Amino acid sequence: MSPLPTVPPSGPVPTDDWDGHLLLLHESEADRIAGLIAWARRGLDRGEKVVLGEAPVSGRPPMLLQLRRHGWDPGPALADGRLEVLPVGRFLPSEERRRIVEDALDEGFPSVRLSAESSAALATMPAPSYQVVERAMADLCRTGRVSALCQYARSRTPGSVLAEAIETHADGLRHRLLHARETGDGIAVAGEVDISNADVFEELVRALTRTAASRGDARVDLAHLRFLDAAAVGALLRASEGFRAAGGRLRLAGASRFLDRVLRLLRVDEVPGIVVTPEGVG
Amino acid sequence: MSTRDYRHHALLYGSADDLLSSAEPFLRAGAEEGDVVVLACRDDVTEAVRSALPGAAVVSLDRDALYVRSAAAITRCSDEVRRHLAAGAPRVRMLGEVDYGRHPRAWAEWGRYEAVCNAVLSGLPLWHVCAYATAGLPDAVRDNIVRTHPLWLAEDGPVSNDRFVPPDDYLAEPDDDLWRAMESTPPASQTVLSRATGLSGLREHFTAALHRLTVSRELAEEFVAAVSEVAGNGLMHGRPPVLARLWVDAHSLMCAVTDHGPGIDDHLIGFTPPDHDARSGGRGLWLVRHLCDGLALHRDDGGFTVRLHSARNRPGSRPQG
Repeated sequence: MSPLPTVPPSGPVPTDDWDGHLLLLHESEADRIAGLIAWARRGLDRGEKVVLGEAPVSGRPPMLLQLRRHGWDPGPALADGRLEVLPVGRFLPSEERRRIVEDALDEGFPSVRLSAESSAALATMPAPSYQVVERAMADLCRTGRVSALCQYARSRTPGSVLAEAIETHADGLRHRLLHARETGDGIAVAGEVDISNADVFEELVRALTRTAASRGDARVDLAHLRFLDAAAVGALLRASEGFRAAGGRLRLAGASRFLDRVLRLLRVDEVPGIVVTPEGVG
Repeated sequence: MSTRDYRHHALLYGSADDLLSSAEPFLRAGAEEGDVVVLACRDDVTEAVRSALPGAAVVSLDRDALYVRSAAAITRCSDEVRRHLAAGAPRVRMLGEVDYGRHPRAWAEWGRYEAVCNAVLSGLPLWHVCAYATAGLPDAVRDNIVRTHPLWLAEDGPVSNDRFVPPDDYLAEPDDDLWRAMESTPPASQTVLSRATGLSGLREHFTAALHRLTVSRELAEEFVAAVSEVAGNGLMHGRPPVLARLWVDAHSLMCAVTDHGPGIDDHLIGFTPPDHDARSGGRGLWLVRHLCDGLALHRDDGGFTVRLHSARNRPGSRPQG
């Protein structure tokens, strides 16, 4: 099955769309490889060292073959050492990770990116142990010299794990239909939310309200959201209920003309604790 | 009948004078009791009523803006009544000239509007008069009027209408005739869905088809959103696979969404606004009714089908929220 294209830009694409500590939430293998290729190519374009962590999954073709089958030839990058494939076990111990990064920087690369199959790792260790790894990865990414793409299979990521993962991946979530990233005062979302991914949207908003709890104010930038339905609105209300009941204010900013109409038809602008501001304002 | 009940009258008139001779005493009686008079009429009628009732509280609504879509019109009536009640009025008396459109499918939808009024507005202290000019009145519309109003308004007051059909029965009447010709042609686009992840592709395909057929971007956007909502319902509350078929002709867009579940019987679903409680459902069909002109439910051996339709060309106003 050929993958749907990853979210096409509806406006200028932020140049850091594939940088930083990212959560790739994939619906299928095809989805995963498509995201991985886009991410890897971005790194190569930036002159970075790209290190792909491969998990031993029985019955699955080797990663290099999967990449070629999806229409990307990693050959040239492999040949001149810009791309490397390592067993994902190499990433788990922190000293190993540090050494991979230091070696790449010593080789003269300005920065490094690592990809890891988080769902595969979670199958071999308890979630709290893997969360420690993710937090260490987040610290590494904060140095500015490292990006990481952590691949989570939707079908194997229950809500609680997804919630934790969203909190750890500050630079955002990449899903076939929905991208999200942190902004100074909240999150920005791009793509579409319908019943197929309203639960993901709900976790994104819930995570936002947790980090915004002390501030009492949280902003969701909807400028690049192309579609939102009744299920998405239900998710938004559920995710922000506690936050709003405690006096928090959720600002929904920059919705397109049509999405603004949908929000007002569903009377979201009348919900206590929610403020809807149109395109270009707020 | 208590004076706080909803009363729904039809008024068929020949000339403007006929209209006023029946409507004026009714509205004047209300004004004398402190009722607010709300008009959704043509300008000349509005002016004539205002002149006849100096000193009365007369509010006039933009008729073109009101009669755009049935669900929106009903909500507007309801909101208007509640507004005046909150300001202390004992009752609202409304005179409206329904714009029933120019096509049998539009006529059928406005007939359904009249039927739904009986159910959704009941309990509101609203005395509601729907005035229809007999000149050029299609037989089908006259038939709908007769069956959807419990009362006639004559010069000497309201008269009971024994041909009234209760709304549940009226709304359950099949309207396949309106769609048979269209459905016998190949669809402009068609998609089978077995999972919610297919909805995005459905939206993309239908949007592309509508653009190819030069349907306006705004109309396409709202219609596709309505279809997506209904198809999603078929997946979540019905039984997959869900088949969505789109037809476009010179006058209308129509989509039939069929699933293999038991379907629903409630023809009134989606006419009540959603509340703020995160847990309440019913948002989806409310949204659908505001994003398309009409919705009809149908069940047969092939499964349960929801038909959505919108007119391509709406004289006067743009689609309103």
